[in-house]
Amino acid sequence: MRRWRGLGWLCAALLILVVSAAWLLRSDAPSRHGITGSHAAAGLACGDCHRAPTQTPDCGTCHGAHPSTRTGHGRARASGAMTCTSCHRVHHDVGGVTFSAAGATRFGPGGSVSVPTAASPEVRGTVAVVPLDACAACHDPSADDDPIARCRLAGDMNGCFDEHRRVAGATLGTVTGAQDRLILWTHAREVVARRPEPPTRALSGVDGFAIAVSLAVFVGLLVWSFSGAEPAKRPVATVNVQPPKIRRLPQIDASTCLGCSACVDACPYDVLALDRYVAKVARPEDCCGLTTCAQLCPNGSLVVLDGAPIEDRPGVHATLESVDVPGMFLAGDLTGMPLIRNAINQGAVAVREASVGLTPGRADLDLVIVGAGPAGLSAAMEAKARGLNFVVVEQGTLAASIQSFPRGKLVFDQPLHVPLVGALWLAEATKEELLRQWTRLARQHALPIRTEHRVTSIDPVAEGFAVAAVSADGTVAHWQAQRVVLAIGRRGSPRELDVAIPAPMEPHVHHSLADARSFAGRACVVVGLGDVAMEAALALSYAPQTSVTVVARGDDFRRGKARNIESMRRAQAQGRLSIRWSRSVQAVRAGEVQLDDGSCVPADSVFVMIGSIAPWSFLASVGVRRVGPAPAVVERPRG
Amino acid sequence: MSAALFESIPLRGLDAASAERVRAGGQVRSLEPAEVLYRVGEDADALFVVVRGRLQEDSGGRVRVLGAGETAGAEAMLGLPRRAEVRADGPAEVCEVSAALLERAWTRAGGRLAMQHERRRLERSALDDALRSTEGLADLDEAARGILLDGASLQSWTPGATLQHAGDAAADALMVLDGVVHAIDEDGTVAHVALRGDLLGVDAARAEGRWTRTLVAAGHVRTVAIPGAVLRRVVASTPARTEARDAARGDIIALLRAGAAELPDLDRLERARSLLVLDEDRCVRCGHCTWSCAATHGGEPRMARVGPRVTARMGGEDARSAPWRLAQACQHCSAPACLGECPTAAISRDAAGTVLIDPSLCTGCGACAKACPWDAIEMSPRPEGVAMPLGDSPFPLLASKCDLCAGGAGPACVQACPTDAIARVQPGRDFVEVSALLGTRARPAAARGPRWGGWVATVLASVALLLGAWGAAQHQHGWIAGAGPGWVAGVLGACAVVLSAAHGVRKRLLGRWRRWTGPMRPWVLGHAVLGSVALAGAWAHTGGHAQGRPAVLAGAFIGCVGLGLLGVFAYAVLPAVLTRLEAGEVSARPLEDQLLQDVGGRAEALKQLAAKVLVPYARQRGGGLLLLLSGRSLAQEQAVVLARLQDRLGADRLARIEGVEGVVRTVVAIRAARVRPWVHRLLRLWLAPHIVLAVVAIALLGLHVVTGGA
Repeated sequence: MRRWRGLGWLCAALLILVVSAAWLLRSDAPSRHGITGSHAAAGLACGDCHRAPTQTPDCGTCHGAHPSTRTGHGRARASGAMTCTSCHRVHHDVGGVTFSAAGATRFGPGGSVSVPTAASPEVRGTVAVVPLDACAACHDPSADDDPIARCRLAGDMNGCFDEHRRVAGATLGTVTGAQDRLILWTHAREVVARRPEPPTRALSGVDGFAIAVSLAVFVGLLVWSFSGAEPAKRPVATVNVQPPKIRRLPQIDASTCLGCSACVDACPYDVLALDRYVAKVARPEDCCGLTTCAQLCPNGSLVVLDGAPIEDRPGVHATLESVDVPGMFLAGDLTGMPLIRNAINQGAVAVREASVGLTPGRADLDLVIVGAGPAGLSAAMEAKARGLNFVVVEQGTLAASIQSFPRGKLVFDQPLHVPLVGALWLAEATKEELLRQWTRLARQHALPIRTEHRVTSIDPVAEGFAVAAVSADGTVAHWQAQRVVLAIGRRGSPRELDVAIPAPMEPHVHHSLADARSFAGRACVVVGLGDVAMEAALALSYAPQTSVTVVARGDDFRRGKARNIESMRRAQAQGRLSIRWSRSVQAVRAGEVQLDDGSCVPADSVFVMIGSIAPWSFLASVGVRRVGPAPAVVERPRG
Repeated sequence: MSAALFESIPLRGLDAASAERVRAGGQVRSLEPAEVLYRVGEDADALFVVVRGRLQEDSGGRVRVLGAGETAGAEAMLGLPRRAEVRADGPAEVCEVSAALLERAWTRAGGRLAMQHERRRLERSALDDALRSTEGLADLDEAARGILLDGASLQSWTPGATLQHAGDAAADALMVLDGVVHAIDEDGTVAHVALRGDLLGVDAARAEGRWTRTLVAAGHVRTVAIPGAVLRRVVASTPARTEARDAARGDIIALLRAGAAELPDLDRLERARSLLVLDEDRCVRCGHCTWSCAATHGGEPRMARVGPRVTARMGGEDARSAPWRLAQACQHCSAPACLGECPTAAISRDAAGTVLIDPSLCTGCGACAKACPWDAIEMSPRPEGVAMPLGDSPFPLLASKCDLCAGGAGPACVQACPTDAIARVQPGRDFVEVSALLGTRARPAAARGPRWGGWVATVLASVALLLGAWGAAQHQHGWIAGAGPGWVAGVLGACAVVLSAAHGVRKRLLGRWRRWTGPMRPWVLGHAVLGSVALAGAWAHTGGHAQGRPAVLAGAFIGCVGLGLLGVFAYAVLPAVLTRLEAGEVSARPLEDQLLQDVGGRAEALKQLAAKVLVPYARQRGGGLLLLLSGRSLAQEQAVVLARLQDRLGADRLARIEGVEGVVRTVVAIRAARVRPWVHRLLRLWLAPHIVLAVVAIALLGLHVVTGGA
């Protein structure tokens, strides 16, 4: 929709109409109270007739007093119901015929025209022609028995030659000479028959100009008020959804690097870091290979170069269909193409391709989408738009991977110039805004999302695929669908402890920490020493009355953010938490955890944060293979 | 810059890239004999290396002579104001080097020991000054002071950093040297704020106790840590309690906050040297400030009319308390965060403290924009003709921000305000409450120009209209339009119309291709007065009744002036109404989302209350109008709604439902948001018809004059 400039300009347009109406209806306008015809030609002004506002104009001053002598007219005049202007409507449609030496002239409110006449030039005088509707106030012009039937003009002509005195009487005061009224009338009838309508007054040049201008301004303002900048259309271009085949890495020229941290801030995966005002590649393994950093480097100190081929990705066709399992489509981080934007594009493209060649009614569902991250949501939106019968199965919650971003993080957008399909993006959104938008979209479109359902198997069957999932409370759900879109990302599922968890402890073993304060007053054991574990331990240690024990496999801090390590050391020195170095968990029992040295640590809650298992084993179980050789299980620290 | 310079102590051993940047960012200055380089207390962003001649450094009577290769003004490295006066001892030449640039260069070169001694000396001297002016530590003897200075250490904190966690052992007491520290209670509310010169945790540090509240840096903060052991040795007793002062501070903050949900940004108010504020009770939301800013700066505005609101008095104790919106624009901080982040020293300050960006040095990296806590720096496309630094730099962006319209007759935004609502202020000096809070001296005179313009205009317009009425009455006694005084009145009115239209022509037409300087306010007042004079002239000319074409002219004219007067009325009345209906912060988040977030995860009772009572309240037809007519502000309306809920549910039951206040705040905001656009429209609606009728009236007037009154 076009933008609307506002009510004000619309009002202005309407005002123009009002003003031009006022102009047309003003007192000297031709159609109303203007001074018409011969009066105007005689140079009369209002005040010449209307000496005072209440006084009836006295026409006799110029025209001589010759009131109608008909009995009825006389009575009406006497009662004041009739004046000269009752019939001769001087401001409205006064008209008639004038005979002069130059011939006959038909005059009316708009002036006069010459009309050929058979009358001799000696015929002089003026005959007023009164329109029938002036008489209609008292008479019925259509009735044959009405007195005016006699003096009506012939045929349908709209006029009346009434006389002020009977035909046998004297001549009219204005008729000069000895011509008989009857001759005058005969010729007048002939003239009126030739030219029935008197010339109506045309609009003057000024009026025409004023009206034209005001109409133009009106239309202009109307257009202006409704027109505005067309909102920029989202470019719909062919999007690249093909995952990269070669790993790319930034290279930094330390001698020219400004140390401005533009690249560090641009990197969505914290690959780069600033060290003594020079940027360096701190975590090359997390590099997504896109050139955001290089694009933001102000002086070209950073370039992204090609490196080794990427083998840690599943094989897909150009349509995102799996090379190994026909009918199964892959989208999102899983394909090896990072960034939320790409995931959104891939989700939409995967569904577009998956919807080709569906047979209606072959299975319960057209489509099962596994995962409700950016790619899965985008796929769901596309499926909804295409009217497919589908379900989204998610092991955690909506966009769990985005929820694990740091609070307030700006999810990067420009200047990647990645065109976009789908409605999931917000320009320059923070994580919270994006999540809110997605939750709102899922709610608005009533997307069928089953959260807390972990897919356990996807088996090819005659109708397509049989998908089984187990929910958090242990119930198993089955679906049959013609196609499957896998959008499960690369985070996989959290790595579990290699010990049996007794039933009473099961609700108290966690893999993530959402709200530390809800563990107030509890004894907590955190297993692991990655960033996620350290942040959880620190948050727990600041919750009221918690006791926190961290169980670490190594004998010192080995990796992690410097800030976390420093905070951990401080917390340890403050006695907020204790770290059990070089230990692992031997057994978990109700209320305590036994370590491998045999000691027991009281534990109301256990946080197992020892990384996650990449989804390769799951992928292998459904038949999707990697393109090249790589270890069977890839460990990645979470977060 | 000579190569020899890079052999001087501060510049020796830099790597090639750093040396190049110092060369580009520095400048050589020639000094006349006895010319003062800087004085005590001035801002220090740069240090000086003597190239030729000698300098005399006078630090409170102790005079030091600096020869070629020596360094003056190293306090800049610590971000301290000048601690000595330096003047040339005979003709001299010095090289000015940005402290931020040098700090970077040193760090890149692997740290620098040569300046450590100088650093420590300056640090000690600055600490000494700070301690002398701190309550409780001011009257120590020299020996005790020495112990204190030896033990104390300087710390700096980035915005949002946690200085101390509640419950941690208080090893050191903290003295706030610079910035604002929030002391936060367990439930996350700010219990009190600590400002420059405040001592925190003295009791705890002396008694080896623990911190009772978490301390968080509200902005960039520097503190002095004084170990408990040192305190126990030198301070016989705990300094006088500061509770009374904390209470007074709480009162002042409540005044500044005036019922708004958010805490006033004291850090911002303290740092700002030239803060752009808008009096929301006067601001007619016309956008002239932003337009004029954009017109001055090549189409890209460098300010936005958004930001938090504080309620304060400006110009003395007896001034009116007004709600001030702190606009998004550079406030020329006393300690600019952007300045230190620039890798090429493109950002500097002039003698008046105005922070300026040198486009020829700006690489467009955006570090300053990210560093500014108030988003006052915008990365905009580099205009044609502004050279790229670093030669073949491919980067097309340029950092731009308010430069106070350098070279103009004052900031365009302030000049362009038709209602005189906008001002550039130094809060610590111009706002009574802020100066009371910071302990600085308030300036009694207002930062804005004279305020009598409106009154003069009103009186003039009234006199004109009275004269017009008198003239109209004279038509009963022989005045006619065509001659004599009636004719003169008509001519006067016509002249007033033409003059009055000059305002519109200047603004709308000429302003398109030529930038006009000078304040807008007199033009607006003049326009209003001349409009009234024109109406009076026309009145006296026609005697109150015109016919024919003149009647149409009179109609258009009366409509035009009437709409103008309506506008004057709207401008006078509606801004305050709008202010009442606006929450403190102009928020972009959809309120319905906020509502969902408010009730999400809360108790069922709250959800029921929201669904059955509060949401219907928010969506009630005409509810916004009721709120408008009630004359209540949002805070007052919230109180009323809460009171009504209390009547309905009982105080006990209501108190048990958590989160009611948040939901009430949101529903009241939703209700207000429904009527606010209409008030905005009322403020605007008259203008377009006014302009169109003015054009019509002037065209008809032309016709009227040409046809000699027909």
